[in-house]
Amino acid sequence: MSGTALHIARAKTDARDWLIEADEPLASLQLRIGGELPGIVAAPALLELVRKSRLYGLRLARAIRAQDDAERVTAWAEVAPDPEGEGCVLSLSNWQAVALLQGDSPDELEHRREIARQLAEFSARLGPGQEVLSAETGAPDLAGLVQAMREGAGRPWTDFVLLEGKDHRQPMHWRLGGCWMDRS
Amino acid sequence: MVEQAGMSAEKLLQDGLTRGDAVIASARPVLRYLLSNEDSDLFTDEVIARIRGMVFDMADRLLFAVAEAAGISDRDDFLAKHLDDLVTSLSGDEPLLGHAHALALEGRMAEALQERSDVDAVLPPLVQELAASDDETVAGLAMSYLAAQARFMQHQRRMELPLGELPGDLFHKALLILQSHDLAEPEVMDAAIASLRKGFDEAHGRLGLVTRLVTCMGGKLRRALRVEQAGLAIFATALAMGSDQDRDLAILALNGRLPARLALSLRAAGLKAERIRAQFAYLQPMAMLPDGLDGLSGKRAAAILAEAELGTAA
Repeated sequence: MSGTALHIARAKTDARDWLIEADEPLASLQLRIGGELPGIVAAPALLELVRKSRLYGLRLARAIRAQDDAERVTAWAEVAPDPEGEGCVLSLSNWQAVALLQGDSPDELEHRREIARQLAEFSARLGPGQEVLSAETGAPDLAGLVQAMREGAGRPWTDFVLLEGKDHRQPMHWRLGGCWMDRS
Repeated sequence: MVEQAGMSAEKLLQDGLTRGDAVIASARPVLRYLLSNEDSDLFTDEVIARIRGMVFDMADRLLFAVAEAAGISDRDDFLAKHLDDLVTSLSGDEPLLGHAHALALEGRMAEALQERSDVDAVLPPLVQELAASDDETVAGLAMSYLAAQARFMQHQRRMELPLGELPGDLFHKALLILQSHDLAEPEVMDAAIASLRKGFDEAHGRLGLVTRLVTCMGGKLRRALRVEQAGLAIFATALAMGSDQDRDLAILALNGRLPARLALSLRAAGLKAERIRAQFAYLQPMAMLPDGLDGLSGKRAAAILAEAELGTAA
């Protein structure tokens, strides 16, 4: 019950759900999780809320969660259609950040990563700029993708797949990706 | 022409058959459920009556907005003429019906907790403390929540569901259903819907207030997961947020003697087995606590819930 409840971060989006103005700490969260400013709202839960508010024409309010590599953030978000624009006005409060390792032992995280790697049909190593360094697969129908990635190593991973939505600027952080690939 | 009339009569019969068959097909699972779950709390006569009352109330309020926009003087006549059709459409929407079901169960359970364990449905200890908080935002929020919760208990007794209490998605659905009924001139319908939209603010409904209260509890968050301290409404929201589930689903898990989902939800929200046992004593005193909770991590419990079919559908 610190001052966090009182601090309100305001922001604005446009008709494409791009964040065009944002106070701290929303602005830095947007950048930390791989978004840009201006750029499409990067936190999936917030994007959903903004999009619904704009499409429904309703004032909506929810607790949202977002996560980057280091911490999980929860906040109370109120979103309303912008009377002066085509997007929405946002206000976020009760900002709380929890370091991800808390309550989640390093062993457990590593254990889950290993399972994910074991089950994956396809895996790739990315560099810090989200560029492809190497790619592997055991599935014959993904051989084409691996071939293309190996030949195009150094380019962002997003060059090789079809992304949900069109407005992402590259390179997008891999955690945000919902994507399809051509399995032929 | 004759052939065309014959065709359309046939089409009507076919449609009627499809509808009738759907009723027959769902009759057996319903019957089987009712017979094999004699002691279930999910579908008592009282719960069904409350759901029906809430759906009628929603339809009433939607029609009232149209009558107002159209400047109809005899509103009772207008309502009587259209009520049944609108109720049928609203009842056909599963998420809307599911929400009314969850509210009916929540209201009934809040009353039961008050009778059985003296947990005040409106002013439990945690809300008293928050309302007396030094932080004005928190204190104000607690007061608004308290008033909304008192209204909720009253609405439940009267079997009402004001539209402003719906979650945003369901409010939007209700408007779409209203719009699909040709009740007045298009401009009148548009005006009615615009005025309903304008009056809606998710942050001011009870569910908005309780969620916001839970997000600003800080160090008191753990107490939100003790139903005897927080009361059922705050407890259910904290449980849903802590276990990453839909709140309606969490409410369902509290009722109907479904110990596995409740135990997993409490574990996922971070409670140790000992405290889960204590919460079970309040929530499902007759239920057997599933074994093996001590050995299960909170993360694993959350993963099991996320993999369950209901979780993804919700």
